[in-house]
Amino acid sequence: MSSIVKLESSDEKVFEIEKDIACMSVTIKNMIEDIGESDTPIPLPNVTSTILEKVLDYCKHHHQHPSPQADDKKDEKRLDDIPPYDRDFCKVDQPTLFELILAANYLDIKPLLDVTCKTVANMIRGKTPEEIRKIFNIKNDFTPEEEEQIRKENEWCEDKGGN
Amino acid sequence: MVHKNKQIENIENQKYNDIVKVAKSFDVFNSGKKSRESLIERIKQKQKQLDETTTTTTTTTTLITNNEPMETDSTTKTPKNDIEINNNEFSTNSIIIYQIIKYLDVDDYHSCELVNKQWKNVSNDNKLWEILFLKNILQINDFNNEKSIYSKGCLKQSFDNINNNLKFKDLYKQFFPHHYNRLSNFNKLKNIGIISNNGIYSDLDQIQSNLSNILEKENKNKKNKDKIDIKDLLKQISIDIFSIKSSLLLNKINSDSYSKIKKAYKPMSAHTFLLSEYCNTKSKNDELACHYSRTFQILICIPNQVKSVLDENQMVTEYSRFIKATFRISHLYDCEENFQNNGGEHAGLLKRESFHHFQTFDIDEPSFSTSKNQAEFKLYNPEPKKNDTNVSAFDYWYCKYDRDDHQRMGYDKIIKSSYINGLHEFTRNTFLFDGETHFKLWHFSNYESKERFFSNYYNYKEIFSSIETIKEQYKKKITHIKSRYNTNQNNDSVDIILLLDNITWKTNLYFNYLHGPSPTALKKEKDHFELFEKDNLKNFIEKSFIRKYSCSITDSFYHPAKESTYSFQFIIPYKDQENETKNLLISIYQCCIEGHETDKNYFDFSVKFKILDNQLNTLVKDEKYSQLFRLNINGDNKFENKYEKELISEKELENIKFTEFLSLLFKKKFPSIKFNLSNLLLMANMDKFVDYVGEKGEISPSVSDLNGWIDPFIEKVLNGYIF
Repeated sequence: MSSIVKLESSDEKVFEIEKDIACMSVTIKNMIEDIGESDTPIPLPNVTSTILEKVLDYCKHHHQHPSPQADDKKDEKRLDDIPPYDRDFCKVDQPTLFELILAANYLDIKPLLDVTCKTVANMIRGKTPEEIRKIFNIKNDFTPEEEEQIRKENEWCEDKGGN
Repeated sequence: MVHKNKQIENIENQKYNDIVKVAKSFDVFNSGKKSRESLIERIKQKQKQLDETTTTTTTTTTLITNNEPMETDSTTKTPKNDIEINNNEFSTNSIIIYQIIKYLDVDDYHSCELVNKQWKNVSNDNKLWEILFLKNILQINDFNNEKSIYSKGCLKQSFDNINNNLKFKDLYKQFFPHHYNRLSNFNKLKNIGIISNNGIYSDLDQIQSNLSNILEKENKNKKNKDKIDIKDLLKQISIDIFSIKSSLLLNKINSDSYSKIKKAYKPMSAHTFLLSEYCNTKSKNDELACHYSRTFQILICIPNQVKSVLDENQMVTEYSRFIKATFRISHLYDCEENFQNNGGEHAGLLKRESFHHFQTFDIDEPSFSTSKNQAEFKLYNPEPKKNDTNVSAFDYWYCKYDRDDHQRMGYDKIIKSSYINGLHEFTRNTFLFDGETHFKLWHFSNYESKERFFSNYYNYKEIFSSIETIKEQYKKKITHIKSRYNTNQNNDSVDIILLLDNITWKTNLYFNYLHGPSPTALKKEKDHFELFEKDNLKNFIEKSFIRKYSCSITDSFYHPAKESTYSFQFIIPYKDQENETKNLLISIYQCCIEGHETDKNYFDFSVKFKILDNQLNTLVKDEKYSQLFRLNINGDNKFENKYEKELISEKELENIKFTEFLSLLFKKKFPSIKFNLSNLLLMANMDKFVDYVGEKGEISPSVSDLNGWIDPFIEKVLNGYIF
């Protein structure tokens, strides 16, 4: 069994976890390499305890159930090809999902980033720009003229021809 | 600022955790390595910048991670418990937007582009389009694995050589215009004249001309610096990448074909060609009947009647879409001597063991099977169209026949039935090959009965054959293989399958180029790369043409002889001594007979050539060839091999394999050709019957190989035959 490392969330909650699991995060791995073995908790100021707990759950599961290497997998990989555990893991409310993406990005956990981004991509697919804005609470900063210009450039993909 | 200065005093002596906190407060934590030294370095640099700007700016800094601007005075505090990472932060992080968009397809890219300015920037990221482009052109499904995308061949390198500023978005549009909202965009693209009515580029000149006209209009309203010159881009692209179809068009093959098709057949009728056929007759010991099953695959060429690009008032018929139909029929025959098939009236397609399967494909969508290492065509299931004015391929095909009296119906009397019903009705009641051949499924004629003397036979057409299970069975019970049924009875008509052979030939070369040479196929040969230099490849694919490609392996039921023949004729560009480009016609022929009643075995293999002034796409009777090589073995074991011995010295013959010998001979004869003949055949997947892999260093044709099946005679006689 590997040694234990301590992680401190932004709300100062400390989590103890096996070093091997923690090192699935490249960011944490680098930190450990820098500071060496220490009892001092590693600060993760960008991650709340709620999210960190979920992230660690994810890491624990995948540490115990390593997925096959990419080369071993079948050729056919699709967007909806998300493993059952990961799919259930991503069944969270939208703000939590977004926070998980940010945490995965900050902690540099590629599989988690992939699966969460894939989930969000599935939410976006087939949506109109307005619907996407609504999902992410984004303000449209185009002027009507700019928007018209983009639409004009993209007439290739606008369904005007019909059949 | 005072607090910050305090923070970095003696920072080298502070604990790592504290350094991290300071780095966070300076917003430099995520901008590089997170080692102690790196963080300290960045903090100091940031401090220096702040000191320089302190007289002109306020001391308020916004921290990206928080919603509310945080006074710098508060940065020494531990981050608050209630840090909120809201949608706004999430959706303004370009890296994350990129990570999400990369899983989407082209239509969604454009929706994302319209979200806001930042999303527009990310959606237009050249890298994103590059991956999308490569993924599509190399048929890679694992979008997530960029390494696998870039490991495929030298395409990326070619792009880099062409232009570092290449816009993949533009490239994508030109290569996959139909990906833009799929079929509904066809009309739009057709209306503005960018693509021809069937979605196929007519030729590069025409595309350039169309695009130039459109861009000219577009550019009128733009400033000089914004003007797009796709014409230049196309010129660059066409060096390395070009439409396979256009290479046929440039040789005027297609236009010739079209005019000949028009002459030979009435326009607006579908035509069918037999691709492959397998028959099997089994009989159990205690039965007085035999089980007969027949599986065959046909190619149906669908006419698309479309408005002419050049003249909207003119309608033209194009044969660009095909249906590959597979049928298996089963029947129990009374077992009579000589297997007379007199009970054929009862054969039907809808028996329990029967099945049919239809696939449509478009010749302009070639793809590459990495498992088979050969080109294929993208297949679709036929779909009914809702609109009365647009008739689906199947509807049209179906409407040709009246299900009761098999009479053709007019184009305007289209039967609108569902696709499934149509198929059943069609297969139950009617089936004939262009009305002129002797194949009729509902009844075998006497002539056909005579043809059915074989207990097993198989018409083989490897390019389109997909009856894998049958192949397996075939290997075990090989008895009869016939060459492809030749529909080219009329000299004026064009063998459409030969046209498809040519597309496959060019596509295979092209995809081999994209994917890089197969290490198993092309072992230590290096000079094939010369073929793939920019001008060489373009010239080669444009100018090369297959004139004949056939094989026939026969084992008569009554006759003990086994006979196999293979014939492959192709034309390639060749520069003569005056550096003038001529067309070189190569003919490879092999014939092998074993166990003939005269008990003589016979083997004949020859490579012949002819230099043509003009490319001739049709066979000319009594063509006179020059002989490059011939190996002849007759029943009396008289070996005769002929070639110009002065071309190859004895020293060069040492430790050379047969394949190398042939290639060397070829190169000596045609010094301006820089590739190996054997490699060319390998890359084009046309080497199935000339598999000369010498072993142990001897020059020896080993065995003829048909998808793993070994011709026993060739194996027995030729293995060990050493020059």
